[in-house]
Amino acid sequence: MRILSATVTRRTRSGDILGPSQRVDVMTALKAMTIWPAWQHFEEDRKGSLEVGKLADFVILSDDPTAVDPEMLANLKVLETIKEGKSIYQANVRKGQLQYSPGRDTAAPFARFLRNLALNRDTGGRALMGLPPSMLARAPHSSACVAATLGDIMTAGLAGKAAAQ
Amino acid sequence: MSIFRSTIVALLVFPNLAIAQEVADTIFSGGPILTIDDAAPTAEAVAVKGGRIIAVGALADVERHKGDNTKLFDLTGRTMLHR
Repeated sequence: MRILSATVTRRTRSGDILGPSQRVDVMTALKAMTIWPAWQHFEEDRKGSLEVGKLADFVILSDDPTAVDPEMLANLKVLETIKEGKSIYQANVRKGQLQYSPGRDTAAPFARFLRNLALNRDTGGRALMGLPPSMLARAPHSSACVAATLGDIMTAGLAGKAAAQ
Repeated sequence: MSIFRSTIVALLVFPNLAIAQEVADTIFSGGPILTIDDAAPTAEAVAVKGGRIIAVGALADVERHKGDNTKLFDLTGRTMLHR
């Protein structure tokens, strides 16, 4: 994303504008990173753009580079990478880490259970910032709260086990 | 002769029937798709089979490749382009 940004804005890492006459539009910069290098490698028939017959190699970005303010290009994030139709990278997803964050779906019993458990731990059934508990119970709860609640239960469980021995 | 003629008529009337046979593994849609192809710079959806692109374009056209086992990948507003 820094390359894309620098190609369009000519802004260096230290913030200087180096050769503003060398600026190009976003689409030209994207071509310089996709179809043109593919052509240089004699691979333009299977890489470089999304066309029928080409490899399903995609990148999923947080925003549309052709629609955002050029000054924001450096802030775009790669959220997922697809190689030949299969996802090979997902941002913020690490194996073995609890990513469970119950949403607003009150019909999902496990999500409702976890949400109420975390809410009870955090507020003790009292109103929070003027919001009644009934309203809080319908709001989504962050995975950090839920993880902390589950951590408490595990700690209590281990302590109980140790006391029994 | 009449069979031959009716085949031609069928192809003229249903030009999409021939390509509709191929069933996609995955269909990507739900966000801006930049093709980097000057002939059609943006697309609504992309269909993939066996690691290759089998259709790019309007969602209605790409969905002709949807089968019972086709996975639908929702971009949820995020932008997709070539890697």
